[in-house]
Amino acid sequence: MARTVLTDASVVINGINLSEFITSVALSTSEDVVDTTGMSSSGARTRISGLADNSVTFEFNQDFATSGPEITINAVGSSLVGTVTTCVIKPTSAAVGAANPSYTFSALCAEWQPLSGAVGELATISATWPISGAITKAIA
Amino acid sequence: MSYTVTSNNFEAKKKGETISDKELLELGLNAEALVAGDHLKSNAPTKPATEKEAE
Repeated sequence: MARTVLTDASVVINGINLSEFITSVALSTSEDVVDTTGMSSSGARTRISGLADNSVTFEFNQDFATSGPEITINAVGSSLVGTVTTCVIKPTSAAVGAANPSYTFSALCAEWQPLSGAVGELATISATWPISGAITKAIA
Repeated sequence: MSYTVTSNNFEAKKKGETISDKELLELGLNAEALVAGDHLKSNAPTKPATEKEAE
């Protein structure tokens, strides 16, 4: 089995391909654990899963120019910050397939850092957005 | 209403092509943010300037 080294992950936010500005992406899913332990549980807790809670974390290199992260996500007049937006991510920019699945979801742009960085450093953005609803995985 | 794609990074269509409100809605995309971000240009007809009525 081939291992995956991310060099060409595809990140599309509100229909705009921002991959060239992305330095890190993490899609996370966790399930609430609901305790179902009863009196006849033989001394060990029993559990079932409850609601799923999904989130995505992006790290960007900031760019204020046309087609960059700032104008795409935080444009004057109509910012995506505070809204739910469609995102699609893939391990590579190649076509969707079994070895390159796509993950589509609606994320709430709950935070944004227009300017972040120290003297002499690259301006970057780290944003963790909760996902509203399920993540749809496609392999075709 | 339709829009002309003005960005090379728009995934659904190529630069110069048009996309309708309905298509954007089906894709779950925010048209206002795309216009504000200079990725789409609205093709809505602009209202002609009204002339002052002659007194």
